[in-house]
Amino acid sequence: MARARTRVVAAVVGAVSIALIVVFALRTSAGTGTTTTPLGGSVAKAISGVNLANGLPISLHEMRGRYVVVDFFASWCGTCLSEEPQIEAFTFAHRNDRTVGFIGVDIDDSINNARGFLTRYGATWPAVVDATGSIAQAYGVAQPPELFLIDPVGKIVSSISQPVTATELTNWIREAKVARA
Amino acid sequence: MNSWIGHLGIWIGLSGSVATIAMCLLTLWPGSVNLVSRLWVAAFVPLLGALVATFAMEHALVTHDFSLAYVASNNSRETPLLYSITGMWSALQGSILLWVLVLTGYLCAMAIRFRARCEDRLFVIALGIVGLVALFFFYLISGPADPFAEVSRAVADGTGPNPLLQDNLLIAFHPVFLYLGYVGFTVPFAFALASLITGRIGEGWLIATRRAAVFAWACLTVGIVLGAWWSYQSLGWGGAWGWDPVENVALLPWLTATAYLHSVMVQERRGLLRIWNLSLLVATFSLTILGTFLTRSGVVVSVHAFSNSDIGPTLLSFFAVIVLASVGLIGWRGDRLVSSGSIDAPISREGAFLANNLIFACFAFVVLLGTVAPVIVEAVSGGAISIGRPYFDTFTVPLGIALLFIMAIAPALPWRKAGAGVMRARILIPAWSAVGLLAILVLVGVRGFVPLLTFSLGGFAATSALRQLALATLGAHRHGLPPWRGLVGRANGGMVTHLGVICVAVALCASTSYATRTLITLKPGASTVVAGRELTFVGWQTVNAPAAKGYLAKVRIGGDGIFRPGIVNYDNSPSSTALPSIDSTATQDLYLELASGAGLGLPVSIEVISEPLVMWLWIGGAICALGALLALVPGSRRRPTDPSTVTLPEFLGASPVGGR
Amino acid sequence: MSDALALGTLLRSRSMWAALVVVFVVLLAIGSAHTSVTTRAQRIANLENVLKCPSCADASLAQSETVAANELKSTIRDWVGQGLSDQSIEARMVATYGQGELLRPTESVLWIVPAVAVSAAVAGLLLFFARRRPPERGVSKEGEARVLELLGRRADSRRREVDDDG
Repeated sequence: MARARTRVVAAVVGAVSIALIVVFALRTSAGTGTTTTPLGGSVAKAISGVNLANGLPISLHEMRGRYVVVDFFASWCGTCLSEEPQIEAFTFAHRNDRTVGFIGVDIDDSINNARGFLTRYGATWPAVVDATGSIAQAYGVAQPPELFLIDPVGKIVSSISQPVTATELTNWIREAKVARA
Repeated sequence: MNSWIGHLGIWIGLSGSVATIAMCLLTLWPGSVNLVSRLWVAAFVPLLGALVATFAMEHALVTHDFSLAYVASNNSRETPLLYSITGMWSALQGSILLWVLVLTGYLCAMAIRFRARCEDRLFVIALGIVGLVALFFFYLISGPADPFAEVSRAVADGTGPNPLLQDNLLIAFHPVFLYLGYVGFTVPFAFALASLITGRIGEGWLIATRRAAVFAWACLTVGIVLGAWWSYQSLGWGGAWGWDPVENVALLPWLTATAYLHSVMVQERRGLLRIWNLSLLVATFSLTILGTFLTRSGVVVSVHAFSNSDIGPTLLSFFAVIVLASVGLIGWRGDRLVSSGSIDAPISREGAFLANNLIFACFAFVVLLGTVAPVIVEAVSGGAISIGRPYFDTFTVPLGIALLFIMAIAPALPWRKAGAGVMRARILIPAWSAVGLLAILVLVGVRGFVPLLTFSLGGFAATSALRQLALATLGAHRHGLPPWRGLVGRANGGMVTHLGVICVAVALCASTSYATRTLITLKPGASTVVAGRELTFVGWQTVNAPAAKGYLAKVRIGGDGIFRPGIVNYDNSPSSTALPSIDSTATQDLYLELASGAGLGLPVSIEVISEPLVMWLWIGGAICALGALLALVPGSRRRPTDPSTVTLPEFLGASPVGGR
Repeated sequence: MSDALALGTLLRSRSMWAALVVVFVVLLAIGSAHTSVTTRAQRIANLENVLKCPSCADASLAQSETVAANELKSTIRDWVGQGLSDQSIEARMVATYGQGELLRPTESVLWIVPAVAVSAAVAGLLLFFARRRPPERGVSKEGEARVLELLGRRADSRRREVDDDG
């Protein structure tokens, strides 16, 4: 009786441990996943400000009719630094594309740092500074970089919160167009 | 050069561990000579290797040898000597080197301590198991987490340690104590497995490893309390415990180890709960490995965790091997350990220990579940969830209160069975004193269900512990012994530890229940009153250290002097680091933190958190450690009780170890 | 020792225990009354403990002093000031940041499992002792009385007290 009980308990504990180990093993091999925003499908909140690249006013609203990539970044964010060339390549490739727009939002940062970040890498893409943090809050941005895709009617499609390449951004928009068509 | 010496040390350690294991295996081989009795000194070789590697690492850090990748990313030319030395455990690879150093130290101590028992298969197997664990950790630093990897391209200056790791002296102590605790449980764990492998049912190994378990427990306790103190001073939110995964995984082995230290007494006295005790040791050791895996592999995120690394799969495999081997052994051999006796009555010392163990097990289960549930839920449903204070408090507060209650009752209960007379004589007076305390607290205006319950049960438990200590001291006096004899030994040391735990419980409850936050804004020279204390803003002070720039606000608090909360930018960190300042007194802490930007001539905006009795958290921790030290001194009275099942030679073999 | 005396002792001790429990509960009830009213500051503190700081690795808003966390805290203060209920504030935060924003998981299984485990532990303990009674190796009443008589009750109880803290 006691003997059997010991074995049963040991078997149960062993089984639970194996299950736990399998879950952890899957988790470690999976790497960091893409988080999709709970805001998908809702109307994107307004973004407007002075374009750091040229000093002219700019807003998300005036890009209605295009697929707009909104890139939340910061000068102190390492991933943002490393993916800047990809962003530059993406915006350069679509500079004459009337269906695609781009706007960068600098968060938790100072204007001077943001300007330094853009000039240091020769960035030409439009960016505004979210001085009060209200834009980041409205979009539920936890950590830069986080990119949102807004559709032509101004609704949020999805978001990516891991490093991206120019090709991935282009594919992202293509998939959204296909899904909408 | 340093890299070369370091790798040499690791190779000495690896071969030493292999030699130790081989020596043990050959000894166990039927018909072979006992190598351990002749060559037990071989167990020193891993320690030698670890010392060489540690020397190489410290030398590299102190001389700023940036050819090592580890030094380049955790040290800079401006890093002060002390923080260069502590740099060894400022990041993953070096901290595993510290783990190895501590582990080989224990291995060596074990070889010295038990060299007279080399004929004992139990000891030979246990030594081999510790050798295996040492081999695994040497393997970790030889490849997957190599602290001596060289940089591919030379750098002129390193990046320096994380800002949070270079402004507090506790970094020199907290990790060391924590690792002494974590790693120390390897020794009782090895003996537990050895007793399963040999199928020896005696209580000898328990007594033999009792000191090691108490010592490791004391170090773990000190490590956890120092860690909480450090968080309190550095993290800036005014609390000591945040139910963060890294904190939880340090608490988990502490919970199971505490349960073990109690239930092991039932086994020593009555020969009961053997499988349970083995399981607790296995759980304690497995949980330290699981915790290391969880926090070092990036599976869970935490403010305290080191950056992601590649050792996750290796640690997870090791954890799997430990758990499956132990569970398999218990399933295979466990039946031999089932004792014939049984616990007779619920109202008895062993009944109380049983209840205590169930509560600790539930506590550990809740903490483990809350820590790993986000990972499990994400794996099952794909959604991200977070678990924090509201969840943990819901379960752990009632469990903690139940533990306080048991702590009040148990020391007064006799073994086997307590009659009504005994209960009245020993418990009624402490119980009424608890009621008296409650009445006083209610009269002076203390309010709140949980705090009042905690304080009164704390008073109950404290009276109970003090009563035991007083009786023991009187008893010692009556036997013509010096009165301090009544404070040493496991039982009395345990009572001192209880007093420490009560301090911590009361302080934790008071400081979280009655904390108030006030935001004040003061022009230079202006003052205001917060929580009964006058705060005056004296002026700004600039920080202009080699590696840090910033401002401190000089604030005078009553007659306690000047306090300097500030904000500092370290050269190697993009964001600024807030430096809280704390006016700590026995009754109340005022925790000051800058709430907005700083600059000469500007008014200062400070968040003032007033929390009662915080200091007693640290005092309580110190009392716990003191109690454990007193418990290590051999007691004045009883020799270890021999259970009915022990064989005579074994008992004789054990008796020189476990006291008089 | 006569039976009547033993009974008297028992009754006296029973009433002492009963009185103890009653006084304790009454005092506790007095002490915990009037604490159920939550002030606005308490509500804010609770919300800051329940909501995660979105930009932090693992910390509640209360534990975080980052710029983003401080902005969220002021937003929450505003919402409480506007008269929003705790539920609607939590719902707003979850709608923006996702389910991970709540530090109190909504998965009922995470609440049920520990509750069941604790109840099972308690039930198991009670069952265990219920089955043990009466003790198999007990001493008969006469035997016990005889032993007590021989040893002398006072001496015995004193010695046991000094001895049994092992």
